[in-house]
Amino acid sequence: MKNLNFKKHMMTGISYMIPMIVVGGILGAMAKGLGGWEVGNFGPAAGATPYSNLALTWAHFWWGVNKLSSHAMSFGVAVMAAGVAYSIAERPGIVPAFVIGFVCNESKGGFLAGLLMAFVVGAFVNWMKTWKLPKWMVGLMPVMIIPVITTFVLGMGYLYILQGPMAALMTMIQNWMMSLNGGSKFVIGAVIGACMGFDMGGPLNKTASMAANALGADGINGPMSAKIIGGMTPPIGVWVSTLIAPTKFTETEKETAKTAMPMGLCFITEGVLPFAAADPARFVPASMLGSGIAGGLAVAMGVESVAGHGGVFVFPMMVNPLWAVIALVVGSVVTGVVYAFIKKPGEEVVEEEIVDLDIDF
Amino acid sequence: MSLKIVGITACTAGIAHTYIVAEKIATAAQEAGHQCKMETQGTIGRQNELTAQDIAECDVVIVAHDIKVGGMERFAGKPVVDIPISTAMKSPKSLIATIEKKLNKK
Repeated sequence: MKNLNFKKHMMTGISYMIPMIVVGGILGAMAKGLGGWEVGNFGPAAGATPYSNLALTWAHFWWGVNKLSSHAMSFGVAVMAAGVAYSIAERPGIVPAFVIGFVCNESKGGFLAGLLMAFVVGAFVNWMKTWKLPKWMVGLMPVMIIPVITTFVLGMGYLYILQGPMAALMTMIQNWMMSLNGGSKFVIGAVIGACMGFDMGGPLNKTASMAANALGADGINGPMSAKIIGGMTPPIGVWVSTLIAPTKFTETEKETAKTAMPMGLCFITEGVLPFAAADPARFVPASMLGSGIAGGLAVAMGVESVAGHGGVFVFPMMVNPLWAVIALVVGSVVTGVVYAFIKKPGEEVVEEEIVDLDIDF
Repeated sequence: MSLKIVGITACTAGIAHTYIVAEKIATAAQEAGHQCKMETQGTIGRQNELTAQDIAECDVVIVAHDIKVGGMERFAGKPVVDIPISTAMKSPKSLIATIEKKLNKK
C-alpha cells in the first residue's frame, strides 16, 4: 500500500458510527429518564424470546426502548470497524470487520481493539485480492473466500492473541479515569471541552467525541457531559457576543449567530463555522477557552451523561443537571465576553488572497 | 477559458462541512466564470448527483473529502483533484485559480 491514508480511513469509520451512537444514546436517555434508572430490570418475563411477553405497559414500553438503545450501543464499534475496513478494502472488508468489531466490543477490547483490527482486516483483504487464482475461483473470492478466511483467521487470531492484552489495556485506562479526583477531573473535562471547541465539528472535535463515547460505552459517563456541554458553548457563546458588542458585528453575522444559537442548544457545534472560518485567530481561542472551562466544570462537579447526543434535551437525564446548566452558561458567557472583547469591528467579508496551492491531478 | 467543473464533497459528520464546501467551490468557480456542479455525499446520501452527461462534458473533477467517497470509478480518464475538506474550506478561490493554471499548462 503506497498510500496508507490512516486518517481518512478512521474518519470514514467514525462517520458511519456517529448515527449509531446518537441512536443508542438518545433512546437510552429517554428510556432511563422516563422509565427510571432501573428500567432494564422491568422487562417482561422471558418467553420463547425475551420479547415474547411484551405488554403495552409503561414499564415494558421503556424497557423495549432501552433494549433498542443497548443493541445500538453494542454495534457501535462493529459499524466503525466495518466503515474503516470498507474505506481500505472496499466491500469485501465490511463483513469480516463488522463481525470482528462486534467481538472486540463483547470482549471488552473496546474502541481501540476495534480500530486496530479494522486496519488489520483492511490490509489482509487487500492482500488477498492480489492472490493469483484460477478463473473459476475468482467469482467466489468476494462472496465466499475473502470473508470466510478473513473472519476465521483474524477473528481467531484476535481471540487468542490480542484479546487479553487489549482488554487489560482498556481496563487500565478505565481504572485510571475512575481514580481521578477533583483537580484532575477538571483537567480531563477541560481537555475534552477545549478539543470540542477547537475545530467545531472537525477532526479534533470528533476525536475528542470518540474518546468520550468510548469511555461512555464502558460506563464512565463524566467525559460525555464535557463533550456535550463543550460542544454547545461555542455557538451559544457567539450569540452572547453579538448581544454584548452589537456594533462589532455586521448584520449578516448577527443573523448567523441567531441561527447558531438554537443549533448550539441541540449540540450542533457546526453552526459557528462561519465565524471560525472567517476569523480563526480570534474565534478559536475564545471558543476553546469557553468550552474548556465548561467541560472542566461539568466533570469536576460530577455531571454525567449516559446519552451521547441531544443537547439540552438530554440535560434532564444527566446526573447533576443543575451543574450542567451552570457549566453551559459559564462556558458560553466566557466565550461570549472574550470574543466580544477581542473581535475586530465587522468589516464585510475579507477578500481571499489568491495563492498557488500544491495540488496534483 | 471557461471550464466545466464537477466535484464531490464529503466530511466526517456529513451534515455541515460537506454542504458549506460544496457551495464555496461552486461560488468560487462561478465568480471565475466557470460552470460548476457539486455532488454532496453527506450522511443523508448523495444529493445533486452528477449525471453521466455532466461527467462526460467536464474538464476537471474536484473531490474534497475527509472520508471515503463513493462512485470514483465514474471519473476514469478525467483529471481529478483530490484534496481534504479543509483546503477547499480555507481557500476555494486559490483552488480554482490553481486548477486554471495547471490545466492551461497541459
